[in-house]
Amino acid sequence: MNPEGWKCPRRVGFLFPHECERTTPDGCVDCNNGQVGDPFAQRTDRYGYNDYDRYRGRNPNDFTEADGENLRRSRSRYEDDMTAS
Amino acid sequence: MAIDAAQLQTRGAYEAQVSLTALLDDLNRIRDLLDRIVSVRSEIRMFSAFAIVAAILSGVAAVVFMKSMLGFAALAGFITGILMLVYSFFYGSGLTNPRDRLEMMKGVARTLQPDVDPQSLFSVRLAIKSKPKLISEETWLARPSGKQKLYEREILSLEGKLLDGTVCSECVRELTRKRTFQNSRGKFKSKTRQRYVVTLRFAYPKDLYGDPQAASSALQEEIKVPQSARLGEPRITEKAIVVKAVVAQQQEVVQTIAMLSLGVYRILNFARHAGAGGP
Repeated sequence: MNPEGWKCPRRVGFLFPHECERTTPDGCVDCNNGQVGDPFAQRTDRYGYNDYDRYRGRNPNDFTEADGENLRRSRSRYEDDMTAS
Repeated sequence: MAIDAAQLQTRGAYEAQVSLTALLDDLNRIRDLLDRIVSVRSEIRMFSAFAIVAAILSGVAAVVFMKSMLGFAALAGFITGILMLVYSFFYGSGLTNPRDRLEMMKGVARTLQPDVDPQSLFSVRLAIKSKPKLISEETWLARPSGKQKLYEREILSLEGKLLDGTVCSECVRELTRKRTFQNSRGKFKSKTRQRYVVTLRFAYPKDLYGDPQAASSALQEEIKVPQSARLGEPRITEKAIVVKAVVAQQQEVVQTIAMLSLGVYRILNFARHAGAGGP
């Protein structure tokens, strides 16, 4: 049982990492009920793109939760953007 | 959203502005609708066969028992059976074949789903019943009386915004090459070959990804594609990355789309890290 307001610290995503929106790891297919530490990096369904998150041996581990928030555009910003299709 | 068979048949396509979850639900409904059409069609054929057999038996009975009423009934039953058989070929014609396209669209939607806001709307078009457009016709010199025709049709297109603000547009077109020629016995033969042209465009937010052109040069990685696919030269501009591939096998189209998308995001993710002070 997670405390109220708990936020998942894990990175998820297929193409790019972003923050997880879930309030509990229970029943999560990305982290398999909390058993996978980094669901984005540890995906195995990328068709031959192994080590998708690594670049020539250099692991960009400088990714923080704040980066995840930067990657996720807020909906209000999207709706305010009149050039968006 | 309710799926209307008559509307699908008239328009020949499924067109909507929907979330990916709603799209997957709609695709399941279309598949159910197609299943119903196939089942009704086989019922019509069964009744038609029953009517024809009953008519033949009535005809024989009419001759044996010399009953003219039975003869009329036999004639009416036979005509009804034939009309039903003919109608079964027109019922839902053209709507029963696009199952592979439904699966293709499902695969494309599932590939994008992990990186899309569940509420985000996508413009979607899926051709259900469309005729290929002739785009070229020329003489094929390799064989006597040889002719080559090229046809094209759009199978599906999809456009929407991902969680990072990138607008992703995907399009799959089917190219058909039909060659006709005369063989040594003087008979006309034809050979048909199909290819699928996959085009993806990712209009990325520059403030987030910086300079993907420089990142791509620094990364020096080839975008991977399945065995039956041939990759075109990727185009990276200040606004978008466009990638294209020609796929020989239809069952590898979804995998090609996923691999192209992963290849593009290898560059974009690298560009973002490089912009943030090196990977």
